[in-house]
Amino acid sequence: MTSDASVTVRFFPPIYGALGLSEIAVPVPSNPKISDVLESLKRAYPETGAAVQGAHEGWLMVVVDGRSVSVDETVASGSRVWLVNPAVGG
Amino acid sequence: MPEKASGPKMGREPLTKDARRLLALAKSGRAMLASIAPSYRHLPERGAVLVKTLRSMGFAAVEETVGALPKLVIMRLQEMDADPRPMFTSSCPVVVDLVRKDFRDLEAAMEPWPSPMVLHARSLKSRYGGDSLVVFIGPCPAKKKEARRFPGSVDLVLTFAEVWPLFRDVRGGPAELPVEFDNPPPRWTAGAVFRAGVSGLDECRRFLAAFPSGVDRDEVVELLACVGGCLNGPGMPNQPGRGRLS
Repeated sequence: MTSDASVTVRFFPPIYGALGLSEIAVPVPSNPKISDVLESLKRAYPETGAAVQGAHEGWLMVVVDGRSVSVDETVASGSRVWLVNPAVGG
Repeated sequence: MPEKASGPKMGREPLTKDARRLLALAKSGRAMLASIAPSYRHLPERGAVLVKTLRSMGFAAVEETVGALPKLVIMRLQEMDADPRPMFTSSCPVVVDLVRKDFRDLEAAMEPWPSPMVLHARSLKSRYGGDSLVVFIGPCPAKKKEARRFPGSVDLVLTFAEVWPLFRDVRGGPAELPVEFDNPPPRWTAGAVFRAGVSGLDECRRFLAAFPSGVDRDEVVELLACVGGCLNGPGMPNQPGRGRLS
């Protein structure tokens, strides 16, 4: 990694909470896209690979600063990225 | 002689009062908007007949109720940030009534916002005009009572079982009518449904009696009264005692 930038990733629901991965600081390059964050997350914590793939494919909602974003969007260093898989009735 | 009709023809089952009301509203001249619960995916042809028939009846828009989810999820996250604590949610009016009646001390732990049905109806009316009529179609007759609790949102609630007699004989419809939903929701909404954290009324009671035991502070559990979730709701056409879909 060529930068000291990082973002925080949280899962909702906390699917990796039992592994101690509730709130994860992820090192990222400068001006990262969400897809960069996801790849950094997977490199640092390979056990999150399934969720990362789900997020890439659109099966998880990605929320930054109270806004739903696509994996192609850029995120500011220090931001918190939520990866969300909500549950509702049907 | 078969009845000659330009709109949907009747099936064998007698129409309910609300199904007849749907037919009357369709002739009212007001913009008709449909909000379809996600269980439609378990109807034949994944609900294509439903969508096409609603269009043939003159509906101006046919959308998925889960279109309300992005806004709802963001509100949930903001609530968790502001006040991290164990919470439970329920889009099920039976569970909401259960909490209000038998577990009143847990009301503060229940998600405070209306269900996706009500939020989506409000969204539809904000986009298409307050004079439009919103019809929610889903697997649950209890939604009728919920709609009355939020006046000005959903104008009519019908179950899939109630509307199916209207649709059986119009399979196909005008060939040029699209079978896709309007304003399709994000892909992830398809995975959001049917994953009931707790389902079945007895299980819900047990969960509520023990709450917050076993629930993490940043966990939100969805409660549904029907065993296995809304897919097994009494308003699905293939439930025991009802005619099977053909």
